Amino acid sequence: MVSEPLADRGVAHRWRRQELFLLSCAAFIVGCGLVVVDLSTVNHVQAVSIRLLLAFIAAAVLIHVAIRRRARFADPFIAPAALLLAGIGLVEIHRLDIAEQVQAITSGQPVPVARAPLQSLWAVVGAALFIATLLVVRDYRRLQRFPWLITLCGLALLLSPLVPGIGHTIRGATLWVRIGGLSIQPAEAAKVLLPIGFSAYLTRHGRALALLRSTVAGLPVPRLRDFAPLLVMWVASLGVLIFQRDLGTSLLFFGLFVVLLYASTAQRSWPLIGLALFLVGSLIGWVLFAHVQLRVLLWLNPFRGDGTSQVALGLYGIADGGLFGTGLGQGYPSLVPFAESDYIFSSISEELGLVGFLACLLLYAVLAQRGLRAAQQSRDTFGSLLGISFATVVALQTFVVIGGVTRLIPLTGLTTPFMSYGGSSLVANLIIMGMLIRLSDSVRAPRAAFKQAVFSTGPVPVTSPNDATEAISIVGGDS
Amino acid sequence: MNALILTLMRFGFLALLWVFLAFIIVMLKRDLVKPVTLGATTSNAKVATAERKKRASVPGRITVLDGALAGTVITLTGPDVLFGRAADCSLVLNDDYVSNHHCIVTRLDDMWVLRDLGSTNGTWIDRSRVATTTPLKIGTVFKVGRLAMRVDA
Repeated sequence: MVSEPLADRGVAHRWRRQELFLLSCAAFIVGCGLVVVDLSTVNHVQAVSIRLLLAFIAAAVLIHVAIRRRARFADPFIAPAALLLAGIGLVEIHRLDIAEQVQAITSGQPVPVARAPLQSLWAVVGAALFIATLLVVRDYRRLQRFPWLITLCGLALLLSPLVPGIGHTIRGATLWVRIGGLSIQPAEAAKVLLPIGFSAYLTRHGRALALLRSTVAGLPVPRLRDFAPLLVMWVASLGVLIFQRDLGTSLLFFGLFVVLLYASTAQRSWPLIGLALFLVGSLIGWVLFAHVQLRVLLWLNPFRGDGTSQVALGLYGIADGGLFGTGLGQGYPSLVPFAESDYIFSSISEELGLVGFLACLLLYAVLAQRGLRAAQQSRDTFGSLLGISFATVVALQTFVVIGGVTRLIPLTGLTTPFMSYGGSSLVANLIIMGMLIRLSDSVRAPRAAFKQAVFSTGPVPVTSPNDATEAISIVGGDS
Repeated sequence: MNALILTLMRFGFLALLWVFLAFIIVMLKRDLVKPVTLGATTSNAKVATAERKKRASVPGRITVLDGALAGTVITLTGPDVLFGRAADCSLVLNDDYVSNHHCIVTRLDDMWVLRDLGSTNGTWIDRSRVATTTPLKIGTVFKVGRLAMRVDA
């Protein structure tokens, strides 16, 4: 890094200036949002809103300074897009707090605890862990050394709520682990570990899986033993579905593995096989579980009965929002159960309308695109797969949640990345962002530093072909 | 609250969101339009492009034809391009037939030349193994192990 040319420093400075500018815009938008919510509901700016904005700015400053210090060639769009999404989520959670407080006061019940301050605290904690990620993972390539260890840790975390004593069931889904007074969702940590494990595994074994032997019905089919990893993932996903009753998580990780299989082998038969296995799994879920049947029936006919199912209420909200929304603070998003977590996107579309909804969707698209871009620029297979897997985790979650809320697919419980209320989810997503920043920093950094590393004896004096061959054979002798 | 102010705030907030997106998209465009340049800093790339316009006969790019990186284009600019399996190579080829540091394309006066770095499976041009420093011409196809690369203008 000592010898890098001035031009490279200029590029890094431009990227960091862009990032600072976009982060300032994001903070301004979040500030405006909080003020609009307060003015339209309680007619004055509350002290809590100022505290929320300060916490948001603190998180943004921490993240920006960390990138400047430790990853200055990183992509300048990842952090602003992610933080603005987190900020919009914070504004909407604050708005739902006010709605609940007003309702409690009018009905004479005790005022519930506000959730937005807690969420803003988690954002700061997440920023601290983002910095820790950048400090611990200095070279992303080191992560590929322990594919099995990382995958097993991820799967163990995923299944840890099943351990009696610490596991905790809320609303039928066994997703929480309670340690002390703190409930955490270990599946969120698995969203960080499993992509790393899958990428590392497929970097080593992807080539073997790309070998195809036989042809069935005009389609090349892999060897039987190459099915093993996919089948293991399929069984694990079914396990999550059966024992934890969590459709979303099981779908997310199986989908991720199939996407990575396709990305690393470029064989079209893998997605088709994955789809077939998914259909079989869905059928098993349908036959065995009433809650899966209920989800599907509500998807096909949300307005049956008295029309007050969660899906129906969410759709009423979205319809009420229309094109431009009711305006922040002027809708009734709190009528939908879990409006702050699973259904935050219906709250957003009610108050910001289709126009605001599409803006948020585009921010997710930017995030996913930047992940894929880093994957495309990476020079090694592991880096590419890592970029693809994190982009897929964000994109697939968004698709499953928003698809469920808008009734494109049956509703499955997953958190909306960055936006939903929930500490585990926000922190895990900020760590994922840290990984993407680290990856994009490595792939975008100029090659000057690399060249120094290869020719550690200094620049090769290329005077005549013979001299040069001798000089190079010093470094080339280890092949 | 005044209904007019409420309406202004309602549309103002949406406008802010889209202005932010417009900023991102304008800034992104530069990154998307610019092709993938390996082995060069921006300033080197500019100099190299200018030189290339002067002499159209000098190779300017290498296209990977086989393997996982098929379709990747490496722009020949200032520094050398090192092919191999090791992580410090310019192009990391994850293939069983490629050695850690397999071969290198480097600049010699006005030419780009190819050298094998003592690889196990060899670097090949037209079924003959590259033993000495070989100048690269436009249209040459060389094989790193079993992966073909084409030299383009």
